[in-house]
Amino acid sequence: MHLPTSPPPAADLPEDVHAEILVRLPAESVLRFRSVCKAWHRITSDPRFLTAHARRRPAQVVLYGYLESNRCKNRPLGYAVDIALDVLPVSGEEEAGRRRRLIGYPRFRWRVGMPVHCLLLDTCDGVLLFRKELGFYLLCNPITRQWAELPRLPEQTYGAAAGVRVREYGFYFHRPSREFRLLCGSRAFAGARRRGASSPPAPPSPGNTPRTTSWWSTKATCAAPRRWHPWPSTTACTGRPAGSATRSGRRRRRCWLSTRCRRSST
Amino acid sequence: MASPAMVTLISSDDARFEVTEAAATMSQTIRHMIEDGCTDGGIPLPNVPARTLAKVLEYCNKHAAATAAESSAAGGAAAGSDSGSSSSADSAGKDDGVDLASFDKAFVEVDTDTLYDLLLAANYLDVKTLLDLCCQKVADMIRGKTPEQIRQTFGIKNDFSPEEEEKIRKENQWAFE
Repeated sequence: MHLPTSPPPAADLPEDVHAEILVRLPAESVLRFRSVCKAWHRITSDPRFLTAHARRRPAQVVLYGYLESNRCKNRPLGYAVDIALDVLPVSGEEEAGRRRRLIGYPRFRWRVGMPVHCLLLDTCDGVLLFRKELGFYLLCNPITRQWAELPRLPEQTYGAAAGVRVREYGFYFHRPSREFRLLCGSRAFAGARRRGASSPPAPPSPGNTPRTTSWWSTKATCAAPRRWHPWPSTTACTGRPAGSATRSGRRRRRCWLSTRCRRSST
Repeated sequence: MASPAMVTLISSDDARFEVTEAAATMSQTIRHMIEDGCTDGGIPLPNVPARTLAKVLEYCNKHAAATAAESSAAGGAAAGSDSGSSSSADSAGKDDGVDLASFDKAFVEVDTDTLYDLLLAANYLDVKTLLDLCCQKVADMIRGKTPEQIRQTFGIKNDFSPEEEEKIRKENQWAFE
């Protein structure tokens, strides 16, 4: 029989019991308890924990809406619209009916020099994909209100100055690696020249062979996308997503981007 | 009908408990010991004091009895030819479900020391449903607490530097508001 002095009885609980308790808490409590200790931070950041937690949480929908802007009265007509993302629980007793604003931002850049705002491109398994600017993508988990930045595409793969256009083709969850991945195609105009040899990282282009596709892979923990095997020719690429038809006179490169953004809706 | 097989459990403070095998084997730990033939002279449970073991066995007896009643009701319904008896068996099963839920709810209405002792015992004895029940109860109790209160409750030492803690706070600012 222990005496009710020090230490508390719960001190003897093993770590897997801590995990069993944490998985039954709402997301807000889980995130708050990440600052309790390193062990709890590790437990609650583990993908298996997050998956188990997500299975227990009530479903929610994200609403994508247009709002009349009240930030700037003298904004040109048609630009005075804000984008809003709201989260609305669809089940669960206490949370039902609690609609909350996730984010709101202007729809367009309406003046030169104004920062470009995020554009919602796609969603996958409850994770939202935003484009902040060319080659710069953000993932958002609306439940945890967490944001993750995808590693930026090499500068040579996008930007008008480089004579390259980038387009997003697919956003999906890659099960074996437990990563969210974004497939980007970057098209270089045949006549375009890259800006000198001054750019510090070696150009990721396939070199002087025209009509070559490069594959790139990266994780949020990596500094830069990783190049995969060079693809001999775009014409050998089957199953290309819609809208990716090559025009003559252009070279095409493809970039894989991926991140270890957590998949659950914790 | 033969009397049910009984096993003897011995708590850490040498108290002996005689229970049916059906109730005892709700614990996976005990089930494995029985399967390994370690039951001669009783099964020692050196991690569980008598007070806690009595409480765990109260839970196991109730649930094992309910499971037995359910399976016999289901068996009777399957074997029975007239619909009247099967429907009455159904309603009896439903009553058991409601009864069991209210039993579970009342079972974990205990002081925190007892609850954590139960949690430890359920984890050691590997009684899945009891572990679930206790974890849910603890989760309901701690959900609104601050990290500092959690550290006190669980006897956890804060091993973050102030900068690290502040960083985590900032990452999840909304959860602290």
